Amino acid sequence: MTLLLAAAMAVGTAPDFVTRVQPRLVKAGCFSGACHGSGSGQGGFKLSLLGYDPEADYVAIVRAYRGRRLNLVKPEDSLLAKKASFQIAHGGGKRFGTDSGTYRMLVSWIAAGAPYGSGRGRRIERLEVAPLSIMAPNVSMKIQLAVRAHFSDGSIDDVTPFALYSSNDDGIAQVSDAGLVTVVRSGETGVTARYMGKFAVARAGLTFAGPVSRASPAGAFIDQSINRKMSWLRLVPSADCTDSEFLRRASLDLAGTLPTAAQARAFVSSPDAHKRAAAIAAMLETEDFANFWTIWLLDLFRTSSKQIGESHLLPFANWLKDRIARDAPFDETVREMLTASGEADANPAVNFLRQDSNPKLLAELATESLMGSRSRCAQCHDHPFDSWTQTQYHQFVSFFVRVNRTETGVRIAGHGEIDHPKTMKPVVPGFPDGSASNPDHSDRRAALAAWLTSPSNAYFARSFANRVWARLMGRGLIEPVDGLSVSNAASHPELLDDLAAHFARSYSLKSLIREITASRAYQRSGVANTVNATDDRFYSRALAAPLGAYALANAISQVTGAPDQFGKLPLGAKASAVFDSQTESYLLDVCGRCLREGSCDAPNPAAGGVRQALHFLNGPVINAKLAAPEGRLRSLRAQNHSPARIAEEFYWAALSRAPTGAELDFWLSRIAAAKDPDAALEDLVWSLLNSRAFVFDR
Amino acid sequence: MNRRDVLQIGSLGFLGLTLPEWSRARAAAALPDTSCIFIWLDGGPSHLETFDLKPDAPVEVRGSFKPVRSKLAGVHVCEHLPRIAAIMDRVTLIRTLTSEIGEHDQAGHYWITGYKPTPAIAFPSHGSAVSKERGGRGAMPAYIAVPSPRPYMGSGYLPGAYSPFSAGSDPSRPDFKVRDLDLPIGLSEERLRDRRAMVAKLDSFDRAHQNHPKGADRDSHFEQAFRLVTSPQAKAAFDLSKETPETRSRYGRFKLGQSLLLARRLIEAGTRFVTVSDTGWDTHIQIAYNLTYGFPGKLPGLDQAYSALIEDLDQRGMLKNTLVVLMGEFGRTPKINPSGGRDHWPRANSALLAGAGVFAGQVIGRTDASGELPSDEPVTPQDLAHSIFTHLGVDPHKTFQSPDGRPIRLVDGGRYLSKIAAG
Repeated sequence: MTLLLAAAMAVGTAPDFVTRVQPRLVKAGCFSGACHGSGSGQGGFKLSLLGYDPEADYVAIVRAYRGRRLNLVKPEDSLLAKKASFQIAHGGGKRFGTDSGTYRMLVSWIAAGAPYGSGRGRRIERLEVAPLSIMAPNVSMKIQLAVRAHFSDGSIDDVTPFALYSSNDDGIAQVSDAGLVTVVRSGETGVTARYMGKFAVARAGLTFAGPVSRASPAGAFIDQSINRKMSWLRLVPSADCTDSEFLRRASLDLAGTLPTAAQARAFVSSPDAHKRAAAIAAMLETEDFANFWTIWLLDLFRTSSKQIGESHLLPFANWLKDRIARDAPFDETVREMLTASGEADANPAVNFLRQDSNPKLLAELATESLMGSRSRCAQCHDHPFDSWTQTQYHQFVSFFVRVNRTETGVRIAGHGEIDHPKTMKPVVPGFPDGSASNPDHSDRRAALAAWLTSPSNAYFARSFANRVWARLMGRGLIEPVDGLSVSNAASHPELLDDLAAHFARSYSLKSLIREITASRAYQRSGVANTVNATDDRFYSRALAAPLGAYALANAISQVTGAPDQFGKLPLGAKASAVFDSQTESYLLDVCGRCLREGSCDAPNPAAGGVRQALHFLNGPVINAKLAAPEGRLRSLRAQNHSPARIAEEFYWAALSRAPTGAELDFWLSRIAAAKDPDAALEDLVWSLLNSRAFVFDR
Repeated sequence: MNRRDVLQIGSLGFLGLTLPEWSRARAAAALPDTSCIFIWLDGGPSHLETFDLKPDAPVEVRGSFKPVRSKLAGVHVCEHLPRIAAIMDRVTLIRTLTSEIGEHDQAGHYWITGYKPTPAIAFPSHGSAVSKERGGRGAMPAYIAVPSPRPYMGSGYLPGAYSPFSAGSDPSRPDFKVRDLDLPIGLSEERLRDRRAMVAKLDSFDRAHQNHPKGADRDSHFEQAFRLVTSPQAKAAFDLSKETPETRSRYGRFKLGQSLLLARRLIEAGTRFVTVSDTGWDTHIQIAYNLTYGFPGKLPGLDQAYSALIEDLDQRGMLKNTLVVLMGEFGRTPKINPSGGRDHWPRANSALLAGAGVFAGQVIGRTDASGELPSDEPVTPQDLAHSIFTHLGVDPHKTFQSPDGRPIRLVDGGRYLSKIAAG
């Protein structure tokens, strides 16, 4: 005991609960969701999840049951110490031994009278991790992180053994309970240390097999950042894509359609050095672009005619479409949606807030779709790996609590509050970054909209920049795109900052798209080289994905020249004009359109797969279109074109290029050998539409 | 017996299992050709209103339903489940499922994959893992979801070939039909075969997508679709009109009833794993009313359909080879809330298991006086996964490879619930 006390004295003062004892008990697992940190506690002893509520935890440990958990006279006899060290029966087993530092600290804390805070009243200010960036020389090397907590009184504790560690991607780097990092394959990921509610992120990685090179300084900010990272990781980028590939991917990404055969031929043969930028500029002004990105927003907002009413969906969609078409500032769009009230007929923007009658669900919709941040866990407890506290969740809900959905619009009530589930008292509106709001005003939404769309907001511009980037590049700088949080680091943090800043300058969606599509990174080939075949997140090669439902339906219809019927829309309407997800279309369902019954960020598991294969193999989607009298195949045949010419036409229509020699040879020999040349040509088109080159977006 | 088996005996012995018990468990696990019908009550059915009533608890805990005696001595179930009560001697009731996750999709993910969800990697559902390890029989897809899968019932990091085939719509609808099973007029099987060969040829020219995992998935989906289209037996399996009107009525002419009947037909035809999802169990408001009103009502419907399935499987001699699991993603709060409903409660939940070597007629585990926590025998998602795989002839200790080559255990820990087979 003398020794123990001496140890405590050596630190200077007796350990306190908040900055010393609790974090060690958190590390020992006592506060985990599976133990006393669960919603109901364990064995009548309830602590906060991962220690987010130290005051309540202090009461639970020191005061509850008249202090029977501690014995200030004989600290070693304290129930807390004996149970945790398994000297007496404990459902959670032995958390630490009597020879451990945690046990010694616990006992000396109790001996000192179990003080809550230190005499100096120190608060944690920030966490620091070293090294900030680890580049492992090989896969077997282990690197120890060091974590230091900085306090308000200037003191610094080495908390390496007591921080909690997690890796963003165990497939790249793993981290032990003690903060020992092992990199398991080429790439880079974030390793997060957590202590007393603060986070620090280190990056850990292993190089690829490319040569050491210096970053090319060329290019705008996007390529500078991508190239820097590639050279740090010794990645070698794939070659530039061809003009055909560029036009096809840009058209699919921006307009959700294929270029026509004529457009593709003209583009490829054009000598214009700036033709790629010119093509992008032209696509941004098409109606297809406005339609396709309206669907993107409707999916993002989960706008369903089931919720807002069939008659309101189209006006809301058209309102969004008009704003997209004329590139109205996106911050303004969101402000209008958040602050609109009155009748939907007069102001379609009110429909955003008509999507739910429960203010909690509206608040969650707003954080997920406008901030890229999931807040719902915080309804019941502070979010352990995010900045959302339970209080902040309810503060955010209080912005929506007076929004009343009516049959035909939105009415704002003059009163109405949300109660905090713990205090049962009304919560004053407030923002997750801690800034206050003006609670006097009866309509609180203006303050929310102003805060959200301010250029200094940490969520809005970043989440949209990240979403647009993910849509064009195949993967977000932060993944998942609705998982923006302090513990989920971006693959290229400075690039995300720059993109967000670029977007926030004018909130122009078109400008953001122009910037991204102009980059070398966007214009790379999807063919891997010997170095970058396993790179799936550093943009050294184009990341191909199967076409989405709307683009695939458009593309099949374009190539075959035969229209689709979508619900009651006019025959020949493009799939990307089907704004209402309830509009009947088995083709769109089987190709995986989002029904907007939940988040559209996750793929629809009922789509694709064998059902889609059946539909394509056996259903009318392709077979009937091949036989359509007005379709491309029948009209080319009617004009008596040669098989070679017909094959060429279809390759240009489907893949924006001519067939290669090998491809043409294959088809011509098949057609020559066929009993029925018409059937052979049908087979050609069918096969083309089911080939990988067609169904992938690049 | 190999070294791993010896190690398993060691670990089972540690869990208090004697060698004869272990042999029985092994014998159960070694049954040939076992299949699974996994009935998923989406939304989280209340354990306190179904299989774990607390008649002696205060009124705000016990609710308004009365327990009734079941065929299994000393075991009571809800008064609205009389037909299930009559077959409780053929099932194992587990009353102590427990987890920490109380959000629908995350909790569903945890029970259906055995792993907590993480953004870094997607985990395969049990059905996908079984379909990979055991495959289907004949032309049937190995894994089918009726009417359609929940988001966490996919193949995760396993190839898309092992994702479920979705039956597509509610089998109780008069126009229920799986689409696109019949060859269009003018297309022969031979021509379909030719077309697939042509696609393969085109893909062989295509360097850019040669190693794309989604490309391999497509190949496999076309292969499965082709087998379905060309097999009359497979097509007939989806045709409920081949059942007698009496059988259809015994299962119940509503979604769950006809879904379970379809599930039986699919298993008979060679499918390995069928997930049947039923919705409407998320009873935050007026729980007693919402579990009984309407036609046929949630509990009466479950009672009719589930009892019909067990009796039918038993009568056909299929129960010994078919594992039937019935559960939802969590139980519900011990105290009835101010709206007369119960909220999410993952700490305690009930499940029924039957067939494929599962002991007929027993209860595993008990919860405390208010149904708040397990008092003994807590069963985690890992434990349940371990046990399901064992009875389906899949080694729970197996390690799979993620697409980036990392080894991932099929089940992360957990133990075999020896009592399931032992009784």
